[in-house]
Amino acid sequence: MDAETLLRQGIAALRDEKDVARGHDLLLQALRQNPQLDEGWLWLSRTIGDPAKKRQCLERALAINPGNAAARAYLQKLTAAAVAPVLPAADSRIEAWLSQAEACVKAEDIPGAVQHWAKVLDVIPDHPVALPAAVRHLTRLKYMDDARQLVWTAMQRGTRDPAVYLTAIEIAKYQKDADEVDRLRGELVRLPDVDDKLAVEAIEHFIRAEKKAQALELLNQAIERHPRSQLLLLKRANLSQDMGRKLEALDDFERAAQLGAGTKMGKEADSRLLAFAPRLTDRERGSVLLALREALGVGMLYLFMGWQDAGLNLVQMGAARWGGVGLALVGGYLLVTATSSPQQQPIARWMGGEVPPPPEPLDPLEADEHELPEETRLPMISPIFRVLIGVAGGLLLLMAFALVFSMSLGLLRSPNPEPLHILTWDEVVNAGGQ
Amino acid sequence: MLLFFLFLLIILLQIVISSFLSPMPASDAGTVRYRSIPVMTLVLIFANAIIFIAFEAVALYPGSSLLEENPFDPQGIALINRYLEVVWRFGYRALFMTEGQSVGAFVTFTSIFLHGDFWHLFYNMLFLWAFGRRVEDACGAWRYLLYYVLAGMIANLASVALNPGRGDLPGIGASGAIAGVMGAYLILFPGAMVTSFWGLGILLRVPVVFVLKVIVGMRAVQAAPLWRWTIRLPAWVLLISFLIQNTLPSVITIQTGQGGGVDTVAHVAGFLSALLVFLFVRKDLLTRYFAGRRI
Repeated sequence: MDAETLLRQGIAALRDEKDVARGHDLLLQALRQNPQLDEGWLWLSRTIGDPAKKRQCLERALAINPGNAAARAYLQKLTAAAVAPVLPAADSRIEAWLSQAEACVKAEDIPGAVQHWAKVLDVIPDHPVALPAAVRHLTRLKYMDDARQLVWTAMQRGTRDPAVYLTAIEIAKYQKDADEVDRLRGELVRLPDVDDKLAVEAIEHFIRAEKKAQALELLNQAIERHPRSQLLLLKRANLSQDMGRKLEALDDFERAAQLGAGTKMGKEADSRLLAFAPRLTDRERGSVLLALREALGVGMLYLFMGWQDAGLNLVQMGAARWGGVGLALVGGYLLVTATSSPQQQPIARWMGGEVPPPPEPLDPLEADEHELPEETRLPMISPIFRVLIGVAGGLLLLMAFALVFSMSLGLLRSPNPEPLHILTWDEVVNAGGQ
Repeated sequence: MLLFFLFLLIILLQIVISSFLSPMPASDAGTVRYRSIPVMTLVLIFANAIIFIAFEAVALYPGSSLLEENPFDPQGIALINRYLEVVWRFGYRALFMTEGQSVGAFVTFTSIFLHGDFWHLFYNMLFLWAFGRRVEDACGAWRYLLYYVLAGMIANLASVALNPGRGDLPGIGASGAIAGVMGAYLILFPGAMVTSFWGLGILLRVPVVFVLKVIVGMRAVQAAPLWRWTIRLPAWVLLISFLIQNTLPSVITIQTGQGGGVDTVAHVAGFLSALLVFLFVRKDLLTRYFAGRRI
């Protein structure tokens, strides 16, 4: 299995199956094969408990790709935690307050419990146990403002914990403050640690509320942070298609499918692409190898022709016919370059090719999917050169034909004088009689 | 008009009889992604039909009917000789290449456009229509033509090289090239569903659908009619059974030199030439195929 596949499987194990051990193993295997996978180091850091090792992983990810925003944010978070650690004394106090709060809950003394949680939140405003518990109980007791205050304090003190935002959203929903809900959902999507599933869940609400432009904007931001998320790409593709932006939809379906057609999302993207006319990518357009492959097909045809012309004897093909096969390869390549592969790199650039102008925008609602224009960033050989190359290729193929079919062409010019045995009806009747 | 309907009726009857035991593909039911009109497949069918009518049928059928009335009719004999001359001059004979006779290696092209009789042509073209459309779509018209010719050449070459009992008999027919198209279809679209005629399958389907629909009450088959004139089968079932049907007689032919009128060695060789189809398929399709994506 290649490193990319292992990486995808490792991420899926962590993100979808919550299987840290398996994810850890798969990521290690991926990184052994290709240590340059920045996403691999980032995800590996999430499987390690030791902060020093975690930091090492993140630093490696950033050394490979300084633009990896998620790695940077995670490293910053680690640094912040290291710079302002909870003091051991405070730590023991927090443990004590949490225990006391628990005891109060058991004794059904909710106000007492809230007081203890509030003490914890004074030290750690987004404590993952104290905050949701306090908010939940305050909400139940209808002390909405107090609950809101706790969440606000955590947010103002810079928490990046998505759970706090989710709590804030719940409070805003309870208070029927739709604008606040939208604002908080937007904030949630922008959080560095929010995973793609949570982001999509938040964005879904905008789509359902027909706030498609806002949803698209949030998807763009989320994709910037998770460029390899098939889920986000698929969501944006569907939204773009709904909004009549077929080209953008096509690009996103293609990107999602290219990230791996083996996953459920990849399969869906791939099958959605069936509705569109397939498009060449610049990688395929620019490939010399793919063009040579077509020329090889032409050469193969000529080889078989020469083989037969040489009396069905490959060994006796002779230099001329072999030369013909060689010419066919060259001619085939030129013809392919002139017709189906005029953007091979660096040949097209050497020949002074220019990048074709972007296609005329079509009315997205009117355009047939099969007419969607294709955008390319690769230079293309100029039409005049293409004609010249094509003519040269055609001439070479004709010359090659004359060489590989020399005997047969000779027979057309001067047929073999020896009588040719052709079965007649009399022979058929006689053979039948015998 | 009456003659035309009679002709259609005969074709239908022939299809019913010949497709009773083993399925006969009629058309593939899959989507075509690049071009909806299979130009080159239609051109090939048209070319094969025109060549058969213009050079063979005009002599074969009037000659046969005259000879049926009078086995010594000189005009009938002349017509049949004309037909035989076309087949023996332009069919694939090793002699033409080894001894430099007739049109030499040009027969590699001419032979794949000649057919023995109407039914030979009909079945070949039916298979070409059923499987050629999507392979053409996958390759593009011109590359598809090159592949078709190459598969035909490989089939012809293998037939003379591997069949020791073939002698000087001319090989004719597009079946080697079409077998190449079928092999390519198997590689590229193994899971595609092909609408087929299959008498036995259609009859067996009735009780199965009845039980599932009426007795079991399976929701998935509620909309399915009890009777259908055609049946959809996965391409790989049809194509692998075609390969098996041809491989066994081919082995016997290669070992003993004995075989019937059907050149099964050419069929198998043509089918195996499908491995070369990757030199001819579209670039984006090739990269998709090897990335494990749908094509």
